[in-house]
Amino acid sequence: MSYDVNSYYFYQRKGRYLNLYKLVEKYSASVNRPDQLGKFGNESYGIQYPDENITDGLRIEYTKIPDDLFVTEDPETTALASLTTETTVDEHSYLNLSRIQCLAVVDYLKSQLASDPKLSTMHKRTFWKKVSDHESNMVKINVAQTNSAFNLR
Amino acid sequence: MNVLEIMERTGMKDTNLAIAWIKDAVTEMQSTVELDIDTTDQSIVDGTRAYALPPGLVSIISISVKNTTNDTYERIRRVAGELLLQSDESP
Repeated sequence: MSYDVNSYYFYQRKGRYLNLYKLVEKYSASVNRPDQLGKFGNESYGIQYPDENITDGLRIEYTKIPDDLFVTEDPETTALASLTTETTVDEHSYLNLSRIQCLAVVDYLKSQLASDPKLSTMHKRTFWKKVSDHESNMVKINVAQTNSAFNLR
Repeated sequence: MNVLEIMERTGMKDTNLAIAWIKDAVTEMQSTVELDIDTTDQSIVDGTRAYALPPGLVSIISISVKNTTNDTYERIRRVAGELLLQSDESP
């Protein structure tokens, strides 16, 4: 039975694998563990491999290349739900990105094409600027301010 | 915007190269911006350390382990630096 997993489990990324470790308090020789035991620097703590079977116990949340990156309809005029994923990508395929993200892609391609390193860097900077512009447009911050009833004016 | 428009804006002629670079651009965007998020579950096996990362992964957002006492997933922390292992069977 796993409990307080956020305190006892740790992970480490190694190439295409994720290494999972469990923290064991109060090390003693009687604790049944495999010989891959390590230490965190403190003698009273040890780490071991996961010591139990948990069905669907590890959840990885990650970003990936979208499956529907290329679509047959124009995403600017078509509802998101009715877009069809392109099976054979050609020059008539549409990018399923926002307008500003598509403009960022244009800058990325320009940076790849540029033979002058200065020009390439400039286009790359514009690429990231547009990407961050798109992100900041998605964030709306509401600030509420109250005045005290006894506030002196 | 379609691929042709992007090619016209950049003056490219090679469609395949343009598509490949578009995918590269989206990959770079995905490394910092969350365009498309996916979740995968794997079973934890007693005594097994290594778990394969899902194919197509660009960046990890979070790793969680199931708390079987209440069937909820709790985020776990990443170990910084190298672990000091006394002995290890697998490389």
